[in-house]
Amino acid sequence: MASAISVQLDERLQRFIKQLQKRKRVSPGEAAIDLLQTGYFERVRQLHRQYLAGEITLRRMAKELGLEYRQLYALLEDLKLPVA
Amino acid sequence: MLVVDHILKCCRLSIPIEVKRETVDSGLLFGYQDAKELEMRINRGSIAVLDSESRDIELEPVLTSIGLENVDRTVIHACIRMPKQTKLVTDDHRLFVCAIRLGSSPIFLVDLVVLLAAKRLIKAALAAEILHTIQPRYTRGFVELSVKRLEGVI
Repeated sequence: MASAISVQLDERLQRFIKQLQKRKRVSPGEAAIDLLQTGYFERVRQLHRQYLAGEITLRRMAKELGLEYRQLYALLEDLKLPVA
Repeated sequence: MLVVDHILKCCRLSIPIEVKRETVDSGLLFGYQDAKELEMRINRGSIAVLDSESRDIELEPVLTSIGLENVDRTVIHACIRMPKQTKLVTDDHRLFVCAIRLGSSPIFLVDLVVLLAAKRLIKAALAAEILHTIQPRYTRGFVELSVKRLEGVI
């Protein structure tokens, strides 16, 4: 389910989004979503590395991502990230 | 047939009610097919669900400070109350190490499969098939070690 939020961007982010818009020929909203998704998946991978290193449990990873435990399993499957 | 069905033929499987909530109940809400399959096995009594019990008040804060989440802690508490021969099946390294440090016997799923084959509770060919099926879930080399053990190479 999609939802809309309004955020204030600092100048650097505004410039970056404009650059993304130009490069990818997309709307400002699409460029912002692209940026958010890149950040999100980077965070997933970062937490996953911590999980594989035994620094956090899988349940902590789910909590950090705001997911239910079972949803995290599905996400790992989608991204082909191993559980051990 | 799920992997768990092969294990259920020779093992008694119990899960704390909190684990049922996060895998089965929550899984059903999100429409995952395996949650439905697990619910069927729980309903027919193949998988036992353990009621919530009181927690060791000395251990609880230690488990929290070591970074275990609520259900992780429940699993550990349940585990240390079980008979000595009970094994905690988990692929979670932090939980695994914590269980070992508390004198429990955790085991990775892939090694449980090898153990069952070694005890001749399942056939080696079936064990190899199970390992092959679950291999995509693991990092490179993780399952290969179990395969080599199964083959008796190491």
